[in-house]
Amino acid sequence: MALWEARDPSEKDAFEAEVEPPWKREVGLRAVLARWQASQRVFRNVTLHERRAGREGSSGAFPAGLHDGVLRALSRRGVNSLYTHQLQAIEHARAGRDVVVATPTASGKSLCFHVPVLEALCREPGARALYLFPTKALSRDQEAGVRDMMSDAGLSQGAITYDGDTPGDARRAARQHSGVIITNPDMLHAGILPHHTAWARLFANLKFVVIDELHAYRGVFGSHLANVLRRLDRIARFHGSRPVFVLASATIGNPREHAERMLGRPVQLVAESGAPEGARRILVYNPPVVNAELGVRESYVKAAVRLTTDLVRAGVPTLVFGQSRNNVEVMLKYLRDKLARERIPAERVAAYRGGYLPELRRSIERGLREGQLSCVVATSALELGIDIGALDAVVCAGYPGTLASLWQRFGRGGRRGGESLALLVGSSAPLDQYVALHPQYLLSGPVEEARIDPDNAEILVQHVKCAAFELPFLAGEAFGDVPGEVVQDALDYLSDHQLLHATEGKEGRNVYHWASDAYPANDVSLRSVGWDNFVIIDVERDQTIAEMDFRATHTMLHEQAIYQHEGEQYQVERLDFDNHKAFVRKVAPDYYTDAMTHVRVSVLEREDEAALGHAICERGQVSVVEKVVGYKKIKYHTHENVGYGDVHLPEMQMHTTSFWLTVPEHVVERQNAARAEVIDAMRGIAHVLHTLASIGLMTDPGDIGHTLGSKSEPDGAPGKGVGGAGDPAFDPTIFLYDRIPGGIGLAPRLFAAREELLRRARATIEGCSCDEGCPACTGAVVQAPASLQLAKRPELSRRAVALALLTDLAVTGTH
Amino acid sequence: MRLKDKLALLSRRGEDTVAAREEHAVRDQVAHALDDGEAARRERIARLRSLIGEVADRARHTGQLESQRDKRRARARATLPVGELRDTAHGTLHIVETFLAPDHCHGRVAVRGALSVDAGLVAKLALDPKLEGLDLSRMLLLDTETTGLAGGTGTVPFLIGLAFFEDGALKVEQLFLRELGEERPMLAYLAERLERASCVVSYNGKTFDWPLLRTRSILNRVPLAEPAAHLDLLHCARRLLKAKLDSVRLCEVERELLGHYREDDVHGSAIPLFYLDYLRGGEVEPLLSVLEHNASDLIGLAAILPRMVSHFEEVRAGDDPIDHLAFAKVALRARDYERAEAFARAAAGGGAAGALVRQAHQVVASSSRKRGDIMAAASALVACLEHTPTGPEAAIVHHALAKLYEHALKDLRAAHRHALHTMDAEGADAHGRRLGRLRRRLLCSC
Repeated sequence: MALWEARDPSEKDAFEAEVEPPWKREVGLRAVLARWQASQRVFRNVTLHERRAGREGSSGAFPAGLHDGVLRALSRRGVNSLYTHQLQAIEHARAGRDVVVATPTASGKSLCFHVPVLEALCREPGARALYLFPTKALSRDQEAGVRDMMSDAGLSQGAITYDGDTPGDARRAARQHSGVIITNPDMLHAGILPHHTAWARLFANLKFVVIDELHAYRGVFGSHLANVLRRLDRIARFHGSRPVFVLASATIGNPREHAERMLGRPVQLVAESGAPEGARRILVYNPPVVNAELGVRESYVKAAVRLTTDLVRAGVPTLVFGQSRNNVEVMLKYLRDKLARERIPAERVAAYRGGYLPELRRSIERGLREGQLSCVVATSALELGIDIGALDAVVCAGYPGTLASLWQRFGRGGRRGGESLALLVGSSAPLDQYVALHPQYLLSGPVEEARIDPDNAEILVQHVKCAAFELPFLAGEAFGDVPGEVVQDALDYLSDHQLLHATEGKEGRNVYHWASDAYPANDVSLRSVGWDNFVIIDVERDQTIAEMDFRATHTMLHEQAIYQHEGEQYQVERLDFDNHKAFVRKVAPDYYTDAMTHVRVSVLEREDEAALGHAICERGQVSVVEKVVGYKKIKYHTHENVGYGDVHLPEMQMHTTSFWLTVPEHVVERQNAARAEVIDAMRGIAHVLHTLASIGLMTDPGDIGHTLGSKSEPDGAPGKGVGGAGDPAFDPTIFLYDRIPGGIGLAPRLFAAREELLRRARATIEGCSCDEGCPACTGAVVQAPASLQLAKRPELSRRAVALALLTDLAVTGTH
Repeated sequence: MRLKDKLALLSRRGEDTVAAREEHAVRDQVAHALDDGEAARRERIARLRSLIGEVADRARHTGQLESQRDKRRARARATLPVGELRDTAHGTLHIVETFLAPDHCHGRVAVRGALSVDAGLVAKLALDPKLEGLDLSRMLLLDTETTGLAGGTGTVPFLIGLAFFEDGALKVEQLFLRELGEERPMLAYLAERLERASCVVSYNGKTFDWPLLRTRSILNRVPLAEPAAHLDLLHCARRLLKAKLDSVRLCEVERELLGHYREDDVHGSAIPLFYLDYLRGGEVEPLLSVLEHNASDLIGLAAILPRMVSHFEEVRAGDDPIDHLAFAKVALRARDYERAEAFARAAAGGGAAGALVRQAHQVVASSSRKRGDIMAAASALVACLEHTPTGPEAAIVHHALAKLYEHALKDLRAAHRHALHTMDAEGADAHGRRLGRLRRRLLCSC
């Protein structure tokens, strides 16, 4: 970012001269697009211009025999017919078939579950339903909607959010009377299932379980949830109910498979949306090169702000997605600054992100729906199902990393009867540049799949433990779709460790009882990242202004950091780490701060070793240390680097298991490429290995970490600096590690599958149709500037060097 | 769902997912496995079992948990050398009975006293009208010992201690769980005992023991009716003794109220371990001390109840003013204003320190006010003021007096006199309005 001081001198003329007085300017999206196209100043940088025709919706009459109460609730919200996908989903649910609905954003997924639930409650006042949302915030968001529907249907049972913030009296009421319990997987796991007798009424009358945002349950988190559902199923049966599951997912590559893995049984898929879709213009904007020698492009943040300003100025309601919280706040400030010059009041533009307090978020959502806001700059927090109505334009400043997420963001835009804009502004990151230069990838690339592995042995055993606490196990009893023989092994293991106690039951069949004074759910966390928040306190007003999760604290709330909030700047004066508080004071600096982190893996203990061709594969215990080493001061607007500071924060250390592969120095030396190029190629190989590992282990890429370092020098590992030409000789090593503290057995499985893993890596690189490397193989490569490209020989591309290295290591592909 | 069907599903939707090649390779394998579903099932089982084996190996390696496989079952389990086994319709019940002498004392107090307490007074002490008019001679004292304190469905009461009066003497019955999973006979027995009882008396039973027993009854499908009333003496003890004791654990309360000192009492946190160890073939002796501890708790409860009631019945001159004040506050909350006033006057006149006397006068004032004796209330507040140094606390008393004089006693001058000092109690705005109003009214009446 610091490089952007080289400002294109023509920029000012090109864009600001264009501004016409407001009374002359035509408003509306069409006018903006026409101006962009006519001026060519925008369109010469557009690498994709795609028009998607709109689609008529298809809908049908309400299904026969729908309860009067449901009809009343629907007609009160002006719903007189249902889309075909809603009808299909409702029909499945009413017939008792588990169903997953995977249709685009804003297609009315929630009616797919509200209708059958309402009907069950209308027909049987004692009936109960359980709704699961991935975050507390989402639960609260949905509560009011569910309540309104219920009261419109003439139901008095009520709906309540049950989580750590629910007060004691409300908890009792929830257990006794609420028809709908809204909660999150963590609470179900640690607060409800272990106390299921107190919830006997819920479990005895449970008709529906609704899981919204199913795509959010991926990897380890999703694997945990699948096991929590096995426990839920067991408890529901004990109390005599067999609930039907209604799942809703954003567009992912494998919705049915994901749902079936989650539930361990067949699930009906409804993926064909019957909702009408407005026409959409899809643009990819690659900021122009402003320094040809260095190949430096214009800041994508500024480009996105510039284009957004054009939209807002023309009265087009716009949603801008940024890549990080800092990013969002910077864009907000720039937008307000620019618009202020045209007398557009600052309140018309707002930011929206996770750390904002609930009331503020509610008022922003309302402002968007009701039109008081012209523009909102948001983080991924607005990707999830929050009702904001449809907007005319969505601008993504930076590629969010996955197509699923990009389409989720783009889905926030769309108008009936008119055209909407979906605009991606690429950053200079390799992945963004790949997408910007190969934009067809956006239209035809594979949408990512959600992967889980409910049979991960570490996770499974943990949940058998929790399940035994809830109800004793009978010898031979299955656990969801896990066969009895396997469960038996887990039971024996837990008995050996004195957590369970076997007694002789009827017909000589053993019964395994929980026999420990511990509460096992407390030792099992569904999420690898803790979610207790830090609060941010303005010392002048002595008021809490925001919250922030633990991990982000290190980079955003270190002392001296500039914390940006709603376009205002605060400096962190003190970070009280023990009490989770940050004290900030309002300041007006001309810079913001950007923390620099450093990841280091060091080997604690080697547990296994094997040669693989000329490479050495090992596995064992490692420590992964993430440390914020300092921060940069970045000047607003010019993005100049105007200083550095030190940060003294405890390291985030994690003890986990890792698989690693070392290429001996003599092999590196004998390659037909410079050392730096070989190291770069290894980075590419690490990228492929990471992708393949997450597929093979059925986990989310985020559950695995990879880094390139040295196994021999725990302190000298150069981390990001690997590849500096002057590095002393060391054996470069690729580490692939479990990103869950303590590890959940991913690394040992990679070690066991090492030969296949390397073979597939080679086959993937060899079979890829790209030239130099792409996200599908060795990772996206930043295109070198034209002047340097001439000197580069094709056999020295990252992909070619990687392939040569694998060949030399005697790894053969499967092709 | 069987694996076979699951695999069939997996392969059926090969087309609609845009999966990576690797995923397809997996599906191909899966499709082959379909030819022999049973083989695939066996394969999955074998794979999972070996993975679980690895988990066990790793746990051993890192020493997270120490495997006890070899140490276990070295000895046959001993049986509890006390009590008797009874065959019931629900299975064998291990019950330990202890009969106490009719004149048995716990510390200074005879347990028999519990037979003659007045239910009306008990209801006031407990702030629970449901206890009124109950036949307390049929009370059931209840205390459990459990495998843990965490609560939840995995916590088991392995000893249910019950005590009740039979022919004027206390009888203790302890139901012992010989083996996990054999709770039904003891729960059924408890249900029977409850049916014959008028109420349950416990120490922290409302929060801990009873919810736990209800959980067990649901898990074991033994119906257990809610008791007609539940007297939890922990709550009473907290109200009466919190000003005096740092902790209201039962043994501290026994020491304070009964002069009873326990010797060699087993520590509560050790109890789950004694039992879990016993289950795994460990020693039985430590459990005898658990039985003793449990019986002692029950007898202590039986003695504490009459001790509390008798001192609440009428003011005893020899009692500590702190106790008088505590009783006064309880009586006030129970709307027994005469009793509240009597205890509060005793506390105020007991020659104690300022804060206590101040509070006592306030209770006198509140009780008198509730009875409708406004003059008495006013004079109590004036007395209270004498013991209150100038400052925010005095402002509160002045505030109360100002309102009393203005609205109830219609003495505007007195009201005005006190209203001069109410700023700290009601804030500057309200204070200003009050003074203004009083001055206007004083002018009019002149």
